[in-house]
Amino acid sequence: MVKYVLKRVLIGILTMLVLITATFFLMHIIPGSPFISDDDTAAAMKAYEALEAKYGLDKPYGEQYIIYMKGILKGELGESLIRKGQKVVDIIARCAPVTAKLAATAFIFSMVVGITLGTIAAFAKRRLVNGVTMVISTIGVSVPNFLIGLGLMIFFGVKLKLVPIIGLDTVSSYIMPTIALSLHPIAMITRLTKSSMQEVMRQDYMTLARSKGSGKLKVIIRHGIKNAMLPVVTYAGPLIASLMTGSFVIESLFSIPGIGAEYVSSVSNRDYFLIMGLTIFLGLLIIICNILSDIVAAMIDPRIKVGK
Amino acid sequence: MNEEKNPVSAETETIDPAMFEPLDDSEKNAEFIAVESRTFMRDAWNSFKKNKLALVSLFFLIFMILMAIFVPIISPFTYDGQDMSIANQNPTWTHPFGTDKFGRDILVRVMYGARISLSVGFAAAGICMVIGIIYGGIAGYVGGRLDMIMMRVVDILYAVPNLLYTILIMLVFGSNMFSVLLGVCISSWIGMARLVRTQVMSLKEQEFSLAALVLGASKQRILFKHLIVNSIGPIIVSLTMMVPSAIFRESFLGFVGIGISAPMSSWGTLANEARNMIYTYPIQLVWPVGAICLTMLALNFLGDGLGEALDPKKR
Repeated sequence: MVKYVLKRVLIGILTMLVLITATFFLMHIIPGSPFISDDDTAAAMKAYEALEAKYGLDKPYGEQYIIYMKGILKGELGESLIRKGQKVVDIIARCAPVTAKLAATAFIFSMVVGITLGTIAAFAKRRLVNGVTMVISTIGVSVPNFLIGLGLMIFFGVKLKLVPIIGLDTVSSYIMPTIALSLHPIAMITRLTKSSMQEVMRQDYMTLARSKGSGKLKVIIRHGIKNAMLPVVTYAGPLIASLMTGSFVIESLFSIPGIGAEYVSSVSNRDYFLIMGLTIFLGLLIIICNILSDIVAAMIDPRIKVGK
Repeated sequence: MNEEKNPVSAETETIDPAMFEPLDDSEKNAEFIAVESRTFMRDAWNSFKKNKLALVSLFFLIFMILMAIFVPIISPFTYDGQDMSIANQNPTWTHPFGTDKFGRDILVRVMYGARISLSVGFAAAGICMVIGIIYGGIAGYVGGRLDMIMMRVVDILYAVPNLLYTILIMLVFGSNMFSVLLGVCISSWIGMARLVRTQVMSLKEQEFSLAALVLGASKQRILFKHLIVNSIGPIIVSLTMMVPSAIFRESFLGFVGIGISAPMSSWGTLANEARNMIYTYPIQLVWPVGAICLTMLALNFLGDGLGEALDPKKR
């Protein structure tokens, strides 16, 4: 187990290194500069050069890269080039919790609804129940989440005025972004749970548990769900990551000041240190989530780490 | 050795043809197979036809592709022809989908959008398929250390936050077809590569692969003519799932405002433009959104149908 975890962490560190390097050079290829202004008088050019020199942007890329990497080793992410005096760490600390709260709500919501629907669909005999779960999962897979968000916003926010359409200030303002973000994961989890539950129910150990005299519901809960959760757990890690990084459009749609909005504006402002900081933060998050879900999967099913 | 005559062949020469008599017809045809032998694809088509939803989806997609090709050719309107006197019209006979705020015909614009969105979808899926098949095929077939290295590279790419990268790439290479394709493909081929690798790994242990090797087929030939061809079912299914995800990614970019640039608008860009008009002319939003949703639905149903038809275990 320790060896397995160690190996995953090692790959994770390597991934971070590649990610940081690639982003650093890619970002500098984007035409434009954070300090460019419209007037090109001698004074403005002087100021521009002074600013470039102050942040070390006049040095060759290779040298800038080494300086930046040294900074990271010391845990230093630098400060924003646009918003003077604000540290990148502080900006992340301010906007990440907003996104995290929304992502956590959406994560819990989609897990609970998805697993429940999937379990119901796996055992449903009636066509109606099956039909309803099928419709939900098909819509979730097919309709892009920003369109769902837009639809909800027009109908419940603008027409019926039931919920606020901007920001995340009250509890009720979580409803629409959460649903918009969750429908796709719900569809995926429902499908995964349904197929793996049906697979598990055919296994011999389920028959054994029933023949020992355990009640049907008890068998499903104690043995069925636990074993059927494996594909869901493998899906959950990347899901957290994609909820954190993939909520750009939902954030812009509902004017939520989260990490996605910050990223888009940092890229279009060429705020180099902020781009790097956010990429590192999100990359690290994805890697940690993936490693965690692999470890949990290996704990549920010990065969996995031997197989890999 | 040469002197020693084969006793069997010596005897055969002396056999008198009169010892034989012809079979009668009933015996001749005893092993005749009455049912016409069907190829795998024919079988799959027969089972696919039974799935009405998938069949309807297939026809819808063909219809959509034909519309995307021919509507802009036939239509008297162009995608950028502005006419302020007819701005923001509701649907009429001349403009079945109405006109936008510059008086441009929305039907033609949606069909131009279909050209962009569909070609992004299919091109991206095609590129990812080719890369995935070659990469996954080699990793799975060669195996060992090379496989280990190739899969670690895939692991690293998999952890890249791909939406961030798509945005970065769009800004580096500009808002054009190339950067959209690059942004979509940078991570989407990974799933295909993993799928092909697992398929190839299990197929290469089977007897037909050994038989091909014994018959002297080269490794390349075995990999591409036998192993890949035999895993074509799952490949096609994952291909049909890749098209909607590419369309989704492209429309997402358009919706955020960094998609393929105006006046040639994709569906996402059209939806984004119409979003500003939702209070005054909500009907304008219906067309691009409807086009995206219906196409994605159709592709998903098609994928499900193909999945069932091409998987011999599910039939």
